[in-house]
Amino acid sequence: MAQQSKAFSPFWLAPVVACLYAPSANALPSFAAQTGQPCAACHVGAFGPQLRPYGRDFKLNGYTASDGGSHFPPIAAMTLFSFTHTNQDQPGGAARWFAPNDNFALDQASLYYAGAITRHLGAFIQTTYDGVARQYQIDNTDIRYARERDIFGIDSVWGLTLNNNPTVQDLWNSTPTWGFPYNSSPLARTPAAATRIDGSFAQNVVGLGGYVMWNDWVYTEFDLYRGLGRDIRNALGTVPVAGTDSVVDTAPYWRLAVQHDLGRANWEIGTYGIVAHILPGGASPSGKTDSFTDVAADANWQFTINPLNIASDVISTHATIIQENQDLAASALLNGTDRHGNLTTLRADASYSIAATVTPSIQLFRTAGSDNAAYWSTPNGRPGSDGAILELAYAPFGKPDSSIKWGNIRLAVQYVLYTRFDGQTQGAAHNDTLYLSAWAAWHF
Amino acid sequence: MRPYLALPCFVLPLMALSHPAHSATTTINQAGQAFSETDITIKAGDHVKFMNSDGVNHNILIQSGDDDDDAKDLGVQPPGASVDALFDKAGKFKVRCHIHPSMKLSVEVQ
Repeated sequence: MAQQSKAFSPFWLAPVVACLYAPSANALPSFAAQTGQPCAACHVGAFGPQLRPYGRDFKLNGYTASDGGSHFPPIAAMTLFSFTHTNQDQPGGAARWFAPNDNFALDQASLYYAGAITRHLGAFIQTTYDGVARQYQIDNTDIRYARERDIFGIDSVWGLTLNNNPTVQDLWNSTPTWGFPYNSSPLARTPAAATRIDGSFAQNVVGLGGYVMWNDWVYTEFDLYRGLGRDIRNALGTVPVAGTDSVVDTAPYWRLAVQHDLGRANWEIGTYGIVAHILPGGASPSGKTDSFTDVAADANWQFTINPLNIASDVISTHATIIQENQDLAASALLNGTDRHGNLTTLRADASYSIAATVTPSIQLFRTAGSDNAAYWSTPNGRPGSDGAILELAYAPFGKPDSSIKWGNIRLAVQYVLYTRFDGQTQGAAHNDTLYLSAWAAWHF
Repeated sequence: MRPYLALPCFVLPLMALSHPAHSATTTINQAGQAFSETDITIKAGDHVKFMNSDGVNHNILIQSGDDDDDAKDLGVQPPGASVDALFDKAGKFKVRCHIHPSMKLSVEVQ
């Protein structure tokens, strides 16, 4: 794993010191403090990031909904500790500084500005100390301006978003950034092949977009992204930077969704995608680039057993399919890859949150695509991986009657099993992973 | 002035004072993060009573136009509480919950 010279930057101490001096009297997660609502009002299972209708509304309206009190500045903190066991040891260590197996880790410690800036301007800005890479970085960021307006005589919300990760601004948990699993082991092997929109742009781009939710039925959004230069990414702590792909030109991103909240049930069906031109490894042979067109469809369905009870049982399902077409003009010249290829990812998950406290979940996932021996870093040049994720999460607080109001914790047991891994079925189970995590959040 | 003319001049104003124009109150419930109605029509001088039957706070905003910058803020309303609003001018008003933006009520005051 590539490491940066700033691995032992003193910046990582900031969230730790902040934890030590967190005053408990007003230590609510900042969104909850701003609205006076418990975590369960916005989040399935009373702990983010899986959103309920109110959570989506809060985000749609620019993180500015408020009880009218003064909560500035809305600063929150988060820590995530874990234990990872894989079916087979990883020779040389699961990562630098870690053993081949059975590793305890501080996955992340984050500080957030999360809430209103002005009446119509709000932000979700995350800065993270990555305890595995031992690196401090600017993480997911979404700054929004939103207003309610009549459009063709119909109540609508329009807004602008400035963000650094396509789909970080999305309202639904079917899209990549906030999709299940909501946390996963950084110390287990994961499949090599993924579509570009499935995380590769995170913190490597900056984009400005506009959106409209019309009549609570139709959501449209269009963003333009630009790749961040290597110096900027170095300054922001994005890892790894040296020798990594760079986005060139402007990458358009679109989102169209039809949705509605029927009281107990709410549903969504939509499409999203991006077109991006990329320099593989940051190099530009003969001025050529690799071009990727990711087109995706997604669907969501949620059912709240008792809408009058914030801590009601909630059934949630999410699904997405991402189809990527690749024109690898640069990689073909640089590395001798096939010129054209494709990759398809399919994911579907379901959860049943019991009293916003205990939430079992399951996800089935599949990635398949064209063989390309020089492109995929897999033993046989095939990109396919199939499997499932089982998870049981427990969040004791974050309900209206919770005894602790100043924060919340989520304890989870997760098991990832593979029936195919990097194109191979034989030995795929060697990568099966048991992941235990303790995730805490609080407000200053 | 003749006495029989002075009597109505004295009595009629008293009658008007003792029988003011009837002011109606419409009750709107807030439950499940929704108003119990989406549109109501009332008369100028009528009141609307907002009850909070939810387990969480609400915060009524009343705006007369598209912009909520000058909206009338009725303040945080804890669970079980009710708050009264007087609509003394004719027009169309949007009622929102500042905490829950999807809660929407249109009030037409005639």
